[in-house]
Amino acid sequence: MNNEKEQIKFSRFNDFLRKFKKQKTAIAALVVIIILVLIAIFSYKIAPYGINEFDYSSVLQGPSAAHWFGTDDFGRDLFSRILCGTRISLAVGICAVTIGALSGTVLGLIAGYYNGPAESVIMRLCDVLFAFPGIVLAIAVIAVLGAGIQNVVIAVAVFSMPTFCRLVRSSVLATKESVYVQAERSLGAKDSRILFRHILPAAFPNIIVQYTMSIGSSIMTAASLSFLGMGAQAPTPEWGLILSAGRDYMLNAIHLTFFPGLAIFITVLSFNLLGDGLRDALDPKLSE
Amino acid sequence: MKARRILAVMLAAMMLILSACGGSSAPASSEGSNAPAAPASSGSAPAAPAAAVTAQEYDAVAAVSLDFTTMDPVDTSDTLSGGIQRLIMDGMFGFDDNLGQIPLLATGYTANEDATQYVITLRQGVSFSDGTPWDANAAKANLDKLADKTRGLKRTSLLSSIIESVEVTGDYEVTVNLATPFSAFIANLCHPACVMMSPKVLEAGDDVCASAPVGTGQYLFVEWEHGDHLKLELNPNWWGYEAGIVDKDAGFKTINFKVVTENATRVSMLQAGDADFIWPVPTESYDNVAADPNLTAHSEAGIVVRWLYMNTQKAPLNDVRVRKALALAVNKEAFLQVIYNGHGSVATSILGSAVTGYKGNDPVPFDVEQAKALLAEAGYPNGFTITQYYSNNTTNEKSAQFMQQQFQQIGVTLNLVGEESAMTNERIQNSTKPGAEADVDVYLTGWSPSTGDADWALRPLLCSEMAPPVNYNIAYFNNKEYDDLVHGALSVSDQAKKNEMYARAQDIVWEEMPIIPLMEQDNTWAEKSNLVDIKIYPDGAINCRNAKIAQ
Repeated sequence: MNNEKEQIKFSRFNDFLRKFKKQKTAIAALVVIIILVLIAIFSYKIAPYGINEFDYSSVLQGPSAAHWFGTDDFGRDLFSRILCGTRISLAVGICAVTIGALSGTVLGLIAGYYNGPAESVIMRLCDVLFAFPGIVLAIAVIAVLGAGIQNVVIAVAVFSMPTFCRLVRSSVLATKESVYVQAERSLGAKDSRILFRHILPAAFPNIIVQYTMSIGSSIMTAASLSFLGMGAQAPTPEWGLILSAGRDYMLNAIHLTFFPGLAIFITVLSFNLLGDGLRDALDPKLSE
Repeated sequence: MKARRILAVMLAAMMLILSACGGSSAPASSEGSNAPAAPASSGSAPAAPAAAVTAQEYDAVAAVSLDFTTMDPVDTSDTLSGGIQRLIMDGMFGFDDNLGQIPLLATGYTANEDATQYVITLRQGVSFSDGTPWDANAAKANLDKLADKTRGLKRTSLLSSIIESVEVTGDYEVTVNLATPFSAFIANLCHPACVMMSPKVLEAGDDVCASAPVGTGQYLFVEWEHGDHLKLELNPNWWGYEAGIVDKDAGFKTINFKVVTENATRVSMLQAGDADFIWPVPTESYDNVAADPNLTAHSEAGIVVRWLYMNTQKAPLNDVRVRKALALAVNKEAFLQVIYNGHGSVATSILGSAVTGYKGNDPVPFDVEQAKALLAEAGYPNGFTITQYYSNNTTNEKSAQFMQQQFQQIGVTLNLVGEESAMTNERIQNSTKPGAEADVDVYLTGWSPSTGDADWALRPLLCSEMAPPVNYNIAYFNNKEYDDLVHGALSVSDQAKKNEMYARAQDIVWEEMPIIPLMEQDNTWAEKSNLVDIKIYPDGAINCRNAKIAQ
């Protein structure tokens, strides 16, 4: 019996891999993301200069052999700052979405499985959160909590939560009436067993796709908040903040806005392309 | 489906990148579409020197870097608001373009020999824009307000300890009796805080004064939307036109002062023709503006000095060795270059070099080793952590980061907290806590004595009774010798003796280091090339009385 189960799981995974391998762009995106993660981990070791190493004699220099991305208004090496900023952006994106996904999933399971007041309360709460555009909601949260990178994580988590909640709930609603769940129930299984062993796994593909996509948008929201002065505080090498500080020099030092913008662009694009590829590979309804 | 999503992501990412172009505020759009149209040829901008339009038919737009704080002159501590008030209200005396004294609502004065009684004769036939006539009673009402310490207004410290009584001695004559001999009395009356407001508004209370000023001035107050704009309208019946204060065709139909805190946005507004004049010009964009054939840029020495206050009552900055160490750790030359692009000079006093009573000292050297030694001697070999609050604008944020980098060299960690300017004012300038408990450790600021006289810098900035919330002694500096010198100088009429006392006071500042003197700042401003006579007073206030459009 157990062996058979393993085999089913294994074949499902194989199936996924087979489909995913065909997604060339998604694989490229995955490679970029792996590189970004490696950069994030080793950034402080590989950065040629310290992030706060100023040199007033070489401010606002364009890209050169010594400074690949040029220098900023304090003569700091932009390449090093952007490398080290990778860690912040990825950490913020991943932390925020993880918190949002976990809480959203739990609430979605509860709302979908137990009808009645719990469902109404949770889903109406989500409706309220959905009513605000993401960035506005995040700004409102920051206004209450105050500026700072931790609060950005909370703000982004709050606005990504309802999506997961709705997604999981709809998946629960679809699965809970299926024959195998009813069979399990008639055998006398506990709710928690049914929820976590049978219903949740069915929702996993959706969650994974949404999770990947959300990381991209979260990174952008976090950068936007920092750009507006509500996220990371100077002199943190956060991409949005570097972009914001560089905008005064748009006319005479375009590299100060170009490179952080490019970094955000590549990262967000990679996560979204990966999410696309995952969806295509995981969705059994899509024909090959 | 997939392609659409990719497109959406790319668009979204591009939007973030593009949002950098215009800063966060609305005029971003003006950059892309209108910029190439340049003000000179643009049909949409009435700014175009279509020869027929005169200044008095023209709605001008100015962009300023900060919000206004109040419209009550007696409660104003910033040059920006004071400059606007000078357009709405006239003083009894005022300045010409170079801070030279000229009579405005007064026609002259006589003083007794020991400078304790001033008889001021007033201009006749002038009335406030609400119809109230300008006469001795109106003058008395205004002077009484300036002398009233109990109202808790910031600028009462200018004259309240000096004026003893004001008598109406004729329809157009007031006699002011002073508590002590005070030779700089008329100079102080030139200060923008001493502009005259309609007695009706004064009676209506301080809140009305702060929000709906009425004066005798060249412009009428129209509206002020906090954080957004302040609008003035020309008063074509201004007495100054008849009296020859300005040319008959000078002045704009309306001036809309827009608050644009983003440096880059302010510049792009000017370049796109959305603003007619801006001040200050961000020094990082100065060269670009100066190179624009449609614009004229100015950079002139002023009397604005910038420094970093250190709270002398709060540990560890209550130790003079620590303060000196911090002062030594800052590279002032680099500050001037990095933050102000060289538009200024390294400070040699807390006073600008053009101020009466100025005495220059050698700039505090930049010496990290000596700073470290002093810090170790004071018992902080490993440094310490302090906090700098600042109001959010590009220059402040950059300056704060600069300070952080400098202090890091001697192991001192500077936490930076940027806030809305109203919050910072509340926390720093209006703090009611004693110095030792105040939030402020260090605070970056600047000052220009709008009287042109040393007293109005040395006294409000560092005399012990001027600590917040009374006035601007954010260092909570308390030095008896300094207090005595600065107070004592008020009653000395011999300028040479006065200067000697002020010189000693400035030496004490160098010895006790309640501040880190940084720089004397140049005033920068820029206008469309077809505008003439837009100027900035040496104290940094706008001077557009005589503004015209070249025909």
